[in-house]
Amino acid sequence: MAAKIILGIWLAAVIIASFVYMSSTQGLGETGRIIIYHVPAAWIAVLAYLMATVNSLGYLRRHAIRLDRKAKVSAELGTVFCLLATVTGAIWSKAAWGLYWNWDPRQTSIVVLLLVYGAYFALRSSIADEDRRARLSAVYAIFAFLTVPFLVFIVPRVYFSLHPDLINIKERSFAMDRKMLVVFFSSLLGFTGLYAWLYNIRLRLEKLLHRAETRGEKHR
Amino acid sequence: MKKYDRAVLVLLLLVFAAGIVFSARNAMTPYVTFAEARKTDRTVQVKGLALSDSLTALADGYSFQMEDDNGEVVRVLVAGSVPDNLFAGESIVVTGKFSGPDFAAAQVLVKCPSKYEAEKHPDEIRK
Repeated sequence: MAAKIILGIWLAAVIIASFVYMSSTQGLGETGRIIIYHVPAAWIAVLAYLMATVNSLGYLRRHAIRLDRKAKVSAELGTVFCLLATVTGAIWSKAAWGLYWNWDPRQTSIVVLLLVYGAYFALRSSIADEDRRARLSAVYAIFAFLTVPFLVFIVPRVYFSLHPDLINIKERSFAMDRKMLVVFFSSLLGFTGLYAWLYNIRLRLEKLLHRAETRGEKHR
Repeated sequence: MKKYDRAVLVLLLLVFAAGIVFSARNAMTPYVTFAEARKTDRTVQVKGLALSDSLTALADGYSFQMEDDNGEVVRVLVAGSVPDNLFAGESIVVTGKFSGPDFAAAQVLVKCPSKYEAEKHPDEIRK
């Protein structure tokens, strides 16, 4: 309960700071502020997909159905945040470049990523048997994650993109001024907290549904 | 794991790998050169740099000189306005097609700055 309130205050503070404390950016003007939401959303998508993979590996090793639930919930949340990154990206694209979509390598790769995980849910819903579904989707989730580093981190650096590189490897610096950096990392932390909160709620719901289902079977 | 399951997975992964190999090279390079743009009637995206001080006001828009990755310089016509940071030194992308010797652009996109810095107050710029 306390954690929930702190999270609420923290995120509210991040939102206010992104408009008031942080200054507008050179070249992008006021539209640059959306970076405080766009990049953390993409970051959480990667984190959630990683969690789905870790739990899938765990399932294959231990065959505990709760690990399959965790993997599923993580993949769901990853897809929600991935969609958020896509939508905020399209809005920013319209504001900064004048059009919602132009198949920039990053836009293409995020669509591929959404399709890869879309297939994960299609696979899940096509198998009725619980253990078989868990096993197959766990293997698929592990292979699906292999594409994540490629799509998120490699493609936009190999091919020319209109997106900037936030991390300058040569100069070992981060492409933001100090104030922006503070708000940006506060937002990353806040988004991570938001993910953890949503994850717990979603998992509790899944557990209850599972319990209700197994009880229903016994009565039949 | 059952035989059938394994077959399903192998098939999925094959489709997967084939999709990546076939799509990656073309899909990830939507930006072409003027030479390639001339060969097609379709709307394309040309990547390059805007040459500074080449902006000219026209009756219904602007024109400027743009150099692509092969070093070819072409006059670009834009109906309407151009972005403020066109000559900031970042790569630009123009979307459109050739009309005669000029490139008629529907959109001009400027790569995001590689460094996010606070916008300078007008007084500071003067100093």
